[in-house]
Amino acid sequence: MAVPNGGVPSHGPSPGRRIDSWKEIADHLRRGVTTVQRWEREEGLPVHRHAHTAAGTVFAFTAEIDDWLAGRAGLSPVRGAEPTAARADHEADAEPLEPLGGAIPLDSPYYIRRPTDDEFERAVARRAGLILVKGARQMGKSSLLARGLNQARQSGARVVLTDLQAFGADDVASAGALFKAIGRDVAAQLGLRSSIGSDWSDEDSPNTNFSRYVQRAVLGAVDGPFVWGLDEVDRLLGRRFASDVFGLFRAWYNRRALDPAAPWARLTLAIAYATEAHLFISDVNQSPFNVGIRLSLDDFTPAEVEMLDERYGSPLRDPASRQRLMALVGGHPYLLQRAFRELVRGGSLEAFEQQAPLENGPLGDHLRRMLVMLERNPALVPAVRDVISGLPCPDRDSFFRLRSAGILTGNTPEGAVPRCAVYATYLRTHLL
Amino acid sequence: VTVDPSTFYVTGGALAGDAASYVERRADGELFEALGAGEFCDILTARQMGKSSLMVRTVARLRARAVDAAVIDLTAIGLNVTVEQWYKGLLTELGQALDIEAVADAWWKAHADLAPLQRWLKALREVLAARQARPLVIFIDEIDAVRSLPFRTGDFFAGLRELYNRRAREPAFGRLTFCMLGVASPSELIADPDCTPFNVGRRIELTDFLPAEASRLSAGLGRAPDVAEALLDRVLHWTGAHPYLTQRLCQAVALDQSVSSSAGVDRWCDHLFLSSAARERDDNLIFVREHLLTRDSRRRALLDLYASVLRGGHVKDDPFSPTAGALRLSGIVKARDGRLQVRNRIYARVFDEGWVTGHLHDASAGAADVADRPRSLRSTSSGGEERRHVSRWARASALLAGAAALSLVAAAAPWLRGRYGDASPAPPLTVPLTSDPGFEEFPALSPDGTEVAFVGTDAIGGESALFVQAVEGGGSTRRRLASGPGSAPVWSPDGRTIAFARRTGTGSGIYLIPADGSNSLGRRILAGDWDHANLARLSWSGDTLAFSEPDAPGGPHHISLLTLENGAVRRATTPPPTAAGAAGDFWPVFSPDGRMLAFVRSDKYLTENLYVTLLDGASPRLLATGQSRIQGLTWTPDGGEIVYSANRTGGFRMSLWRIAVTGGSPRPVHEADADALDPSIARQGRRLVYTHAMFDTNIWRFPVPGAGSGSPVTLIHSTMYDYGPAYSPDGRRIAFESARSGEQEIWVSNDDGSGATQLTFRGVSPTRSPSWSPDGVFIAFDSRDGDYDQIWVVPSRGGQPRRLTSAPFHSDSPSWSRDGRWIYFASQPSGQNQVWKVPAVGGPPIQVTTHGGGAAVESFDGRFLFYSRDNTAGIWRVPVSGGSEIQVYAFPDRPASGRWALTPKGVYFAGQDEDRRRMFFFFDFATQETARVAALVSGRVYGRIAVSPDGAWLLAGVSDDGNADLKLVEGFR
Repeated sequence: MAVPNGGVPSHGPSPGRRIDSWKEIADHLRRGVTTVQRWEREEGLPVHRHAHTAAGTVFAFTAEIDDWLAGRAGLSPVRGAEPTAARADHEADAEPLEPLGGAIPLDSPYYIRRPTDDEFERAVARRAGLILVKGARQMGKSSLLARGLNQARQSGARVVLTDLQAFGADDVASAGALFKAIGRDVAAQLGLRSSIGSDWSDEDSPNTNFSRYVQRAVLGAVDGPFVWGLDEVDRLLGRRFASDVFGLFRAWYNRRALDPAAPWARLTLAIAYATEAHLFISDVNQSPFNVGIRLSLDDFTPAEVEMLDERYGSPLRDPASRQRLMALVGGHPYLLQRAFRELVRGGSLEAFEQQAPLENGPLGDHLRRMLVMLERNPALVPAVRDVISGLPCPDRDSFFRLRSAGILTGNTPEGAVPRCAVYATYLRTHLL
Repeated sequence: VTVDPSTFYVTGGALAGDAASYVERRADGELFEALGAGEFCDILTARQMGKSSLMVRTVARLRARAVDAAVIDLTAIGLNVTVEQWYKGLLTELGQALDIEAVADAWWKAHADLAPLQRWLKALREVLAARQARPLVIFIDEIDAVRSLPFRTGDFFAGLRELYNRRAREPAFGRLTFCMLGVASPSELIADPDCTPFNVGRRIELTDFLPAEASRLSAGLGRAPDVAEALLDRVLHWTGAHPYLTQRLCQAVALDQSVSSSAGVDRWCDHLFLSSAARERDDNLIFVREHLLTRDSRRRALLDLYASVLRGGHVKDDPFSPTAGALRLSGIVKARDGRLQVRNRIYARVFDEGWVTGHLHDASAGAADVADRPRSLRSTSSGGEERRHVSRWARASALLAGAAALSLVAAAAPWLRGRYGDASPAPPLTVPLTSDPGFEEFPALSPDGTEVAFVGTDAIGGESALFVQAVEGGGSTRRRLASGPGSAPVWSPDGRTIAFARRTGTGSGIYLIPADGSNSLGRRILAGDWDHANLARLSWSGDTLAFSEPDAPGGPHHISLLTLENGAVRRATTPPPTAAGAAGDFWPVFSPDGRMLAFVRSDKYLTENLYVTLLDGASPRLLATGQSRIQGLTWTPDGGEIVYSANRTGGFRMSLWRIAVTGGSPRPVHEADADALDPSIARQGRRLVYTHAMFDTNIWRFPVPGAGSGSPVTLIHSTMYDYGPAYSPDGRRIAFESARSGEQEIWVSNDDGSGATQLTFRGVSPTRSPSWSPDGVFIAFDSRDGDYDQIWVVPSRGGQPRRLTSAPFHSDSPSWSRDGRWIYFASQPSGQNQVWKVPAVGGPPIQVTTHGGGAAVESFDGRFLFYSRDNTAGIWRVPVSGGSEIQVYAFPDRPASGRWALTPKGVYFAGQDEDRRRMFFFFDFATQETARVAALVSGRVYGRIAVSPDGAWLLAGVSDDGNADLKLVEGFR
């Protein structure tokens, strides 16, 4: 499929070709109509509606859609298909730029190792039962997971990665459907013969069925350590059956203590989820687990930004420029990657500062998605308005939800501020 | 011994049976012995107390003793299951644990004709008991999961009890023993005491580690033994040997080898538990918090009980009290010598006085949420309810956002016209509309902006009356529509009728009256009694009149909508339960498109906030805070902004502000004067009218007959408000409130009113209620800090004020105890004002009254506290050391809280006599009689009154007669 400019969004007034129906949008994305409609509903796929004609008439611009696609984290079915072609106008001495979004390739020079990488590797080496990787979107969860699993693979473990984002709406409609989908995915990756569907019994609860399948068919077929990565688990948060699934994972974990010789002791579950999900959960403390090793992905430190600068060939040689960039986008890993990408393509820091908060600027897709998420939670919008107007966050709950979502930062509702300057500017433009 | 600190300590989930950091407690032996003897056991306790670890350990020990053990983890079966799947799941779990899954499965399939519970019980007998040669202990973990199942599980527990009962007849059942573990109380699991297995079993109490038990944890710290011991001591100092907290803190210290002293442990304790970020991160703290802040009606009681424990009260550990049980289950308290106490220093610090009072404040709100929900919803899962709630909000807010977006476009239109259409728009011009003596107020512009209706004073007889006059015609065009006192008028949308509320000899209610003056009687369309002009405001849109009425006489108001066509009345708002004692919701004003209502909500004394709501009953949205009083509001014609009168700069000073309906910060309306009230904007013509009220108060001195002499005199006066006097203990100085600096601050003068100097420079209003310390060295007062009034103390000769209270609600009206050690004040964490006291040198506040209280003064002998209550006329008394709260005097009418002064013999107060003349009275404690003391020359009393220590003089802030005119802003944008 075509991603113009190697995934780098097009700027300026040209929004690409206009396509005029759900069918065309779906064709462009190589997906079914229901899938792209869900993407529009749930993930902010930029689809426009004709204001004055019958409801349901839509259009879109290919460049916008490609932008969105490039910015969409964890889009595993598409990930592999994206070309990594270098741009012609790219400086010859730098590494080719990969498309942004999703995991940064394992061999990318632009990946900055952080302390969480070490912690993840230590946990795998120790055969921890449960590793939780959490952070706001585009903080590098998938990249961390990919590296951790790769390291596990190299140390001799059997490794499987299940990306819940790859599942259709039907697959996450119930615990049973989800377990069947996961079961099929794992069976395919491990090359198992026994299928979860044929072992399934409606007499048993979905949990009982899934436990049995994993114990017998999966762990039974794997010798030694088995490391199972589950990405984009936030898709389950807020669903009716989420507590069944998380309760089951917790129960597996506890079985290790009960019987160290049982097959469960060989299983390491590594789960990544985006904390934006907290926007949708009124109970902010509804965390999937209180067990396991938790790795929280934080912003880049100034030292890490300096390292990133070096990897990109030092477009920002002096500390003052780096400070300026961090004043704009904070230590946000994805925004920093975007910024450096612009800089090595010859853009000036001044130009980036000007364009960053713009709708059609280089961060437009990321910012738009933040706005879409917010607009889906209108109860939180007044709190955001207060904060971007310089007022305290009006209530504790909104504050923690918005902070989990990576929109605000601060220690207390009184001290709440937008996460970075570009967020503040963008949100002021659209919400005040 | 080398120990890996990252694996030695375990901080989540069960410790393996052989874990090095496992701490054996008394419960270990107790449980093992009881289960070995075939006793049913249950461990129902707070989270992270080591239940699962104890279970894992006990399983290993039982197996070593040739006792079979199996664990059923109820969360492994799931929650969204059918009753058949659940019982089958129980058997499957057992089958897997005992390696007889195939047999169990086959048996289950063969008995499909049985009901699920019977099938399960029969399976226990035929598949397990019958085959077991050895005793079998079945652990059922996470037992509280049953409460989230979509079917009733009382039967499940009754079934276990039945098994127990059958042991006598069927020896095979004697080989089956059950142990249940979870975070629940037995009564939450099964209600019927006759069928519960919990009263035949052994309750195993899980306590914190004992110091001797915990000592083995030092082995994992990786330090020299003496250092490790010292560090562990410090850890236990904080954690009180709580299993999880101790493991967690030990782990951090073990991993950070730079820690070598208590200070290092303290630093980690702060990082892990005490810091504000930690409080939101640590599971254990979150669990305790969520348990205490339960969404159901028990929250208030739980918090109250915890507050008593925290304050060191003697709270008995009552095993039969559900509240004490719930508190124990949260883990925040433990029982010691039959009394509850806070479990450890970490909890005491995290859930401290400030935390409790903050949450007590909204506890009643939470309770009422539950009560307000429809009954059919209450029985369903709380998650579902929350979602329902949220989605309704979402819909409403989306509509609001849509409406706001539209009106933003509309708002821009006049500006565009002004910019490009008119050649040069005239600048706004402010002119007087009326200039009569007396009051003209409550103006309402007709929809076309040509006429104004208002309440004025009838030239003949001086009575209040309803008038209409042409905006451009002056007083000569004035016509009287109706006589007698009435509320603010509103115009019908077609401009032909005026609605208002009034009380007449023949009845009270809302009246419609023709705007042309053709019928001065009008027609009553709704009977009702509105005695407060502010609260009787109406708004008219289409066929609907909005008005406010109290839920119950004297109670908070809500907004109601009257459909004119059929007289139907429906409720549009519900003030929060915290509004008890406050005015509630009033002053509704429809948006120009009639889809929204703006209104004022007062849910606390001295707090009036501006809200907007859609008319579908969705939750109102808070638009503007920051004032204690709102005096009128109106929409701009485009619906994009609300203009309102508020004392945002403090004191009595009302001025006009404008705020976008979408939110943001209010901006002042510069075209209007200060002291502007009752704004009204015409739908057409760019006209705004308001009331310009001029009003002053000065401090008067009245002689007490037989003690003082001469006539009443104005002792302290300025062109700004002066009121609220207080004599120093030696009678030589007077502290008072004055707005002469522009803000309402405390000033001090000599007793003859000379030499007034400013004492406080808070720069925020209101700063009020000066109270002298008995030695005259300090003055306590209340003043805003952020959103709330707090109690402060300042040296009476000047200096830096010190804040004594900090809780997130109003605390006001301070008063010193006679021994100078305490300062009493009024505060309302729970929505009802109570008397509290705080040590004068600082410290945690203590609640004094429990049935309501306001401004308080200690008796001269220091034995009693005299105080008034909000909204109830009279004076109450309570012994200083606590006791019954009795009313000692009922005023003939209702003076504002604190408008009285205590002497050793009785009470002076301001009021009205039978002829409604304003005067001072004295109530004599000995004779129980009330006598007139002095009459006011004019005006009325504002703020507190004071009596000189020698009893010769009364001081009071008294208003002048005042004057109010209407003003017009022409060309308002």
